[in-house]
Amino acid sequence: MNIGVVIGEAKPTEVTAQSSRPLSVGEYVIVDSQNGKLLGLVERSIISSDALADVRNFDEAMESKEVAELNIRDKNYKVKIRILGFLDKLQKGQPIVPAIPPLPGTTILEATESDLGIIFAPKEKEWIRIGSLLRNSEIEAKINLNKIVSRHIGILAMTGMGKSNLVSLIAKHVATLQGTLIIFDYHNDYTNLNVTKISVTDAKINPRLLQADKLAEVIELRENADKQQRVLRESFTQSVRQAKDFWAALEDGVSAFGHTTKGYADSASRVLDKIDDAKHRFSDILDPDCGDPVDLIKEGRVNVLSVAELSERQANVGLSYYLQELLNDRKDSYWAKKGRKISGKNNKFSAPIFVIIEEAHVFIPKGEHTDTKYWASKVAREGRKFGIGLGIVSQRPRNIDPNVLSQMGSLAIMKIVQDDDQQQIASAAESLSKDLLTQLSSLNIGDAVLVGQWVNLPSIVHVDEVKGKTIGSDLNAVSEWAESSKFKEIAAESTQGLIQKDLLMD
Amino acid sequence: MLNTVYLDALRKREETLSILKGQRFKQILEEARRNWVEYTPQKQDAIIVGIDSSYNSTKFQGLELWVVTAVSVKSDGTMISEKHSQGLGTPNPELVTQASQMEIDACVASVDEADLVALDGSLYSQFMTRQASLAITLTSAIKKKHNVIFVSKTSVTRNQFSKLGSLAGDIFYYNHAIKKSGFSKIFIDKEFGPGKVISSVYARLSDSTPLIKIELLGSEHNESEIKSLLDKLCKNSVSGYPYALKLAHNNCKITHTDLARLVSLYGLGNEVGSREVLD
Repeated sequence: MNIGVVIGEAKPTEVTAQSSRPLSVGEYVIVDSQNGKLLGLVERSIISSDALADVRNFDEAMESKEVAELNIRDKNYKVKIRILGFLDKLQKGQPIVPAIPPLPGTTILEATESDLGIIFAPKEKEWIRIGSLLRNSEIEAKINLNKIVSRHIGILAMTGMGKSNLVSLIAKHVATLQGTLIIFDYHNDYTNLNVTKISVTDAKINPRLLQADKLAEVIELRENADKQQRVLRESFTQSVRQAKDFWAALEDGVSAFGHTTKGYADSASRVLDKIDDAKHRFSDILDPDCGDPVDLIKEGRVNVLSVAELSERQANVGLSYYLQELLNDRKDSYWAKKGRKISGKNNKFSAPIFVIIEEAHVFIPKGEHTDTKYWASKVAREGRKFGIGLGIVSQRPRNIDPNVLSQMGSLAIMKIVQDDDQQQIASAAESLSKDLLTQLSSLNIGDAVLVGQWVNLPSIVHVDEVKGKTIGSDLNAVSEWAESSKFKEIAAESTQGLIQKDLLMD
Repeated sequence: MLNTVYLDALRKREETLSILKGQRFKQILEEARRNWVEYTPQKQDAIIVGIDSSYNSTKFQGLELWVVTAVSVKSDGTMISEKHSQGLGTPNPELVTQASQMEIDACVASVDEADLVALDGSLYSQFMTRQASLAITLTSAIKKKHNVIFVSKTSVTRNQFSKLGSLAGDIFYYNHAIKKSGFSKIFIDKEFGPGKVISSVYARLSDSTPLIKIELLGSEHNESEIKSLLDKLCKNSVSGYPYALKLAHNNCKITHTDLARLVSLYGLGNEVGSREVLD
């Protein structure tokens, strides 16, 4: 169906068209060029009225409105279309842009299901349904799971725009495909995730397995408390690591160092306080008898590791430990498959794994060193080879380390209003055009711009809502208050009835 | 040089602006007020057609590339007549006559299609500058249904207040005298002889909008006819100007850009002087 004509100056990658009806931003159209059909994406849509242009006052506006309604030629629908490539080539996965621009006068056609289906919803099993195209809602939108694991993803959006829903959707598909997914859950958003084969555990830290400086972070010694750091370093010996009662051995070691080393008695005493404090406050997390925490992760399942109880520093230590161990395990597994066994231990994961880090701006911050950032960056660089994919989720892209963000081969970007967040995304995603970027602030809940290797083409989609989802949603404070006051009334009534007034004394 | 001009302007300011002050000016305004019929037009459904023409040309080395267009369009955007002519050389007849002929042709094609046909411009200029044969065609088109009027946003005629010593056009004094909607009493001009009598009014379709001048052929017009005319014009007007005429103007105008495009289409872009139209 003819819906427009190319007008004005045409370029190989961009044309302007006059359309017969208003076209939506994000809608796919076919440019029927002299060299073959091209697929185009509407990036800007402008409606103007001749009668209502240059209106100087309200009266004139009202009069102009009246004549504009009368005049069938008054409205002008102009669109800017980005040319994505030849349709037949795109259907084969090859984005080839024409060398010669479409001639002005070229017809714009409506894109049909048969045009788009092959591109956005390939039949291969690695392609999983994520929703439908926002403006061509009859077309399924699928993503390539293989590319997620091999090239990583970033899920970026303001709070409440559907990040956790998208993570849940991915988790659901991974569970169906018996893949291994690890979600570091910072806000206990995924503990009630309704998927089969789910393992929900609290992330643990085994202090025996840490380096001395990491143990210092976990028990919250100040970074600049050099003497306390030394006390711990000197006391945290191999025999302490292997002691049956870890904490007692460590405390003995610290006391002994304080007594035997001149000028360190006070520092040792403070370290003992810190150890005692950590033992009591973090007894659920710091577990010297838990073995290797990585053993908590089960292959072929969705593993939700709750880090909600950990402070930021502890979570950072925990995450970096897990990332390091997971990468090393995958490396060993990879080399073992190639016949080059490096370490003696058995590998836990025989197949690729995918790790999702929530609140990535906390653990992978811009302009600040953290261990998680170091290991996340390493996973991003080496993960493709060894089969460990990284997903970072954040509502504050401007605070994420740009190097790590730019290594995310695919992005799902939902509503983002802040200009500096948008700029950070723009510099990380080459395929995100300026016009598409401006659309980010107008997206609704569940709408996402998908760019990168997990889709054949940049697309604006509406993500399916995960049924029975009990995660990430806002509190219903009003109804909870109502419930709570109802109980107060019940309590008041029941006690009043028990008082025998004649027995009350004046 | 300019400084001298400015200083001179400051010196002569009072004298120059005296036409806007003084007893004579007040007298003319008073006369204009007496001559004004206050009336608030009531919107009335009517099919109004606007007609306008345009011409433009560019000359280079003795040659002239010219183009003339005229359109007749309803307020809802429906085109009734589109006419054009173009050529290279000396236009014959001259462009203004060709434009006038096209307007008259468009008028002939429109009188049966509309309740009111509004031509942009003045009947005076049609009678004064056009060939006599055109005037005959025009008057017969107007008389066919008596639904043709001429509308202009500006006017230089000084018929009504010249005896009071007016210096500006009549429209200037009406504009200063009254801000309310209504129209001036019908002025009948028999200067062009029988069969070419022009009746004219200055009208304001709503309060504080610019005046328009409406001209009709013949002397047998009365105030109730003018009121009915304003009712029809008011329905589809923006800021006191009929929308059909605005549409006609927008559809026919030949800008320098259009002419430059035509130069390119003719392949004359490289002729010496041809690029002047692009400036």
